[in-house]
Amino acid sequence: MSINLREPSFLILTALAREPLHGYGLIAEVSELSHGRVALRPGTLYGALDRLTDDELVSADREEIIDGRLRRYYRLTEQGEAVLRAETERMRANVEAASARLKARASLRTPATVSLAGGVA
Amino acid sequence: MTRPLERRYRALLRLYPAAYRAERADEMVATYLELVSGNARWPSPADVTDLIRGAVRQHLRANGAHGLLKALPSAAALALTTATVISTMWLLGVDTLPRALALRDGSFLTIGALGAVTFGGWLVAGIAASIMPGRWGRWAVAAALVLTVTVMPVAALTSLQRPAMQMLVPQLMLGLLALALPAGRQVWPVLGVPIGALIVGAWSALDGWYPVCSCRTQPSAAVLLLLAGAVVAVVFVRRRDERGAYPLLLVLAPAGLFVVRDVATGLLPHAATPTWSMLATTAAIVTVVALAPVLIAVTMRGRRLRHPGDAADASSSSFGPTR
Repeated sequence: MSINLREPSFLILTALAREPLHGYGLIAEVSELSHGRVALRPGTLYGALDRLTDDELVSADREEIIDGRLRRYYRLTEQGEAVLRAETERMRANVEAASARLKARASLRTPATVSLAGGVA
Repeated sequence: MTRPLERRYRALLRLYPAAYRAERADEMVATYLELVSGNARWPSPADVTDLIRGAVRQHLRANGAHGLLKALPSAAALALTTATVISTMWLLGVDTLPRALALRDGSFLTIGALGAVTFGGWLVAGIAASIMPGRWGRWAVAAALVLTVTVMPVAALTSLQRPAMQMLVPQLMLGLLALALPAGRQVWPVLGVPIGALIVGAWSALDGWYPVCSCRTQPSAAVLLLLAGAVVAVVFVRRRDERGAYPLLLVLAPAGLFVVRDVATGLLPHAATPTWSMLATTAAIVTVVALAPVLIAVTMRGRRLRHPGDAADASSSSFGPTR
């Protein structure tokens, strides 16, 4: 299945891969997964959850009332898991390709650097 | 008892469609309250902005026009690139000194010292959007917008020359659209500088004295903007991307404002010069006419969504699938 995932959506699916989470839990988990780089606000989070629910990648799991406040938990669907796996594989292939090219580039540069260093010395 | 902060979040949630509010309000308020630290009594400006953006998104979604919202970043990049191109042309081709530039219809054009600062601000915004993350690009665009708006009172209070309104108004519309820049760096806006310089260079080679005049600069900018919007729209439609033709529809208004003077002059008898009020009326009409296709597209989409049997399947339209 081909769905173009933006980074916040990818991180939301990743956050839900381990266990169902509610809104606040998802925001905290996405922040942790991205090392604080992606700070979702509720309006943005629920917009993303609506799209992911429409695409059947995420669904509501259960509801709880804690201190008089509603908590609705979301879980990853089987289709969501398949999309997350496919996207992870695609990214992994890209990372491997880029790493190989950078390694090759570094090995091409090394002799020139040594020669230059020798010349200067 | 409901705390004042919770009441204020619930008041802001009234901006959302009623059906969505009934389903999500309690959950969203609970999440906002869990994120609040200390004894805050009012929602933070960031939360207010988040709620407003979310409400606009949900209204568009309810009308099946989510593609319009998703198309805004593409249209924003096109708008800022055009603003950079034309600012480069004004700065290179029009005197910054209070020496007037004769136009075809006998009126005069100058950007003066205030114009140099304003259009310089747009160049900075274009470059910032290309070398810094989107958030900083948006701040630079907002600063350029503030400069463009404050030019008018500053010119009124001082003896400094300012650019003509016909130069400032399209820039304001481009800037408002450019505020929707996406989060990442944008390649295109900074390219507006060499593109603008190349066009001025070509005109200088062909027509040495006053190579830049609004009679060709602004229509050229309109054509460039429409062509770029059309190319992006064709790509989206062919991919069946839900953004569809919206990028083209979104740039119609700024493109139309570039040719307000030409439209007003064309409506007048031979050799007559349009007055300020005629230009203002023409600008208002052009804006309404240019925004109408966006409103029509959103309305038609909403109708198809509510009455799927009345029209062909929405997914077959140029505006892509509903989800």
